[in-house]
Amino acid sequence: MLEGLRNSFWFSALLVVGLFAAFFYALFAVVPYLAIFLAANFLFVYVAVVYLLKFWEKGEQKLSNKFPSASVIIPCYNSAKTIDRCVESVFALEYPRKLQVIVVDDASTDATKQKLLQLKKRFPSLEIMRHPRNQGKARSLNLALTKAKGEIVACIDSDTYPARDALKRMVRLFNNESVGAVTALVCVEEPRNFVQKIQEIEYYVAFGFWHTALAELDGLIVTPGPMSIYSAAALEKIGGFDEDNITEDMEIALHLQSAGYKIRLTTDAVVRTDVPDSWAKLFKQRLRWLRGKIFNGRKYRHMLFNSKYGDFGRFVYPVSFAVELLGVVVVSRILFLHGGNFINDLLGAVGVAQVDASLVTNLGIYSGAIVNSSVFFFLFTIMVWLYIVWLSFGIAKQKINVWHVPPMVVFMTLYSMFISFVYFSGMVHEIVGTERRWENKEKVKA
Amino acid sequence: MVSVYVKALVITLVLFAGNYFFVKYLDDSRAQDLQTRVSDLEEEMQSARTLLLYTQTYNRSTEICPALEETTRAQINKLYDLFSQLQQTESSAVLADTARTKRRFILANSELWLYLRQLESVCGSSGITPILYFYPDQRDCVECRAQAQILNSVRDACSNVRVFAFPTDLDLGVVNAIKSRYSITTTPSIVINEKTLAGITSRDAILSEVACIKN
Repeated sequence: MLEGLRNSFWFSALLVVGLFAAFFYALFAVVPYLAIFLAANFLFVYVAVVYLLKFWEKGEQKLSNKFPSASVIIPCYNSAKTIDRCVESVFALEYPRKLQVIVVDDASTDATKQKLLQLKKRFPSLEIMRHPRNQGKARSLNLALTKAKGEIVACIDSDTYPARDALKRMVRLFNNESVGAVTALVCVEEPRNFVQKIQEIEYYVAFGFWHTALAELDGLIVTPGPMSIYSAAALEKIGGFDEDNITEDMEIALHLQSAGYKIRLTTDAVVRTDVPDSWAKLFKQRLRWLRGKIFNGRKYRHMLFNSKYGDFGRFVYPVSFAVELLGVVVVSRILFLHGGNFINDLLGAVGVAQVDASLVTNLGIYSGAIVNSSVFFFLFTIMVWLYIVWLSFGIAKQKINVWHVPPMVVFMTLYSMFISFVYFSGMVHEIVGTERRWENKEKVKA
Repeated sequence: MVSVYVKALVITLVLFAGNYFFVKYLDDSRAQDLQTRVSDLEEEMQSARTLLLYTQTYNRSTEICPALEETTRAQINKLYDLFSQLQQTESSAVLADTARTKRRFILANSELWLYLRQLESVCGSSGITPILYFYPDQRDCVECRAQAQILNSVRDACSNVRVFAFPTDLDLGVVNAIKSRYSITTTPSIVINEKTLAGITSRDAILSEVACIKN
């Protein structure tokens, strides 16, 4: 019964909100808000400047002229709506050698099985494997690895559509044996609603700018699930994917880093993927990512602050946790400040004597907070952020138009708060120990 | 060769130092402006006190009282505007210390109210109905903010009503004496025509206590 209670949504939600409030109330009672803001802001700017310097240092990458044999693995579960397009785009890949394409159906309950049979007729070389019962993505990948013959293994999500030249461009980065994996520029496939338009910008920034800078530092923390390619020898050496991991794409990247392999990136290779189309699905997806990060953080804690792993151990990996933690602290402080005022006024308006309801809408109450001179300390942060967003669009060879402005504003303001709240929820879930699992419904229904 | 981390640290420190001095300049300018306005008001009040003394000394009330009433009204208005500016500066200036200016303001506020009482005794009436408003300075108080809004609306509606705000928790001798005189034990509290009303008081209740001359 206790286990059931622990895994119930409402129990978790109540616990998250309660602990959230208690922790930050205690923290803010002790540490002045200005100290929190300035310390966090200093770290954000410092990290951004480090990555900008590395980004500017970026030189030409040495490219290999060889095109090794390659296997493409597509794990899928209830992917009837996307599998056709995914397989078609894989068979449309321009590659000088014949590709081995393996689809693993992880016991889908929709029409995926029938779709795959139809695809087999169209593409006779397609290899189909099936789990008798649902076992998760990592097990599907490992099952396919037992059949994969290529020197290079490309793992592609069933709702992902690589550009025709993506594989060809990525493979050329395997220029020596120390390269264990190569990643691409992951973009959002046809963003339709506002949530997806925000993620479109987020993906440009994350997989464009941040990943470019991280790759320069040999510090990629994840080989994105939508599509990454691996050296088959490296995968064999580290024993494939961790089957008990909800973020196997992060675990494999950390495992490769830990084993001394390099992870490369080319933003010339574009991979498009479907993304969650509602806040609820996005929340579930990010909660899984963050919980996976915490879980893997424990598993690979030996790499934290360990100079044996170079810039990755000394800086990138620890800072990735510090920034997220401080993000949670800052966002909470802002929410406590303004949210507290708002709730106070709301209670005052509805609950205390004959108070004029216009109190709630009287912006004058907030005028002091709005012109607070501490905001000037954030001017540089905002400018750096804007510059990074602009750079990221350039990396993705996209132009910023007027329709990008509303999602961009939300991305740079409220979205950070949303993500920070997810981070906090993830931390609480990990502390409480609710079950980690893949949410199969978190992806968009295309 | 200097590492990227050191370079980034230097750049970030330079950015922050520039930012610090900019914010400091901004806050000092705000605080300076506030101090100048308080000084100007103190000077005006001194001038008015001297004129009242002259009126008392040579018994020239019929001649001078209308002018005194007019200047007092203007000073109370200025003081009220200054109160808003003080609150705004206090909440927005992170690198300036406004505590001293605040004490000067509260003393000026108390002095102006006492001067108003003197004016009434010398001139018979000041034409002003003062409302004393007591609130805590060191903590947030929902009811007090609601009360301040109500007082604002009464003041805007009635040309004769003027509000004198007193923080109850700054331990100033004169404020403590006023608190004690009117038995102020809770916030918000208001005093109208020597009558203490504890807790939040509605707009209608206040209007029933003041002979409102509509604007």
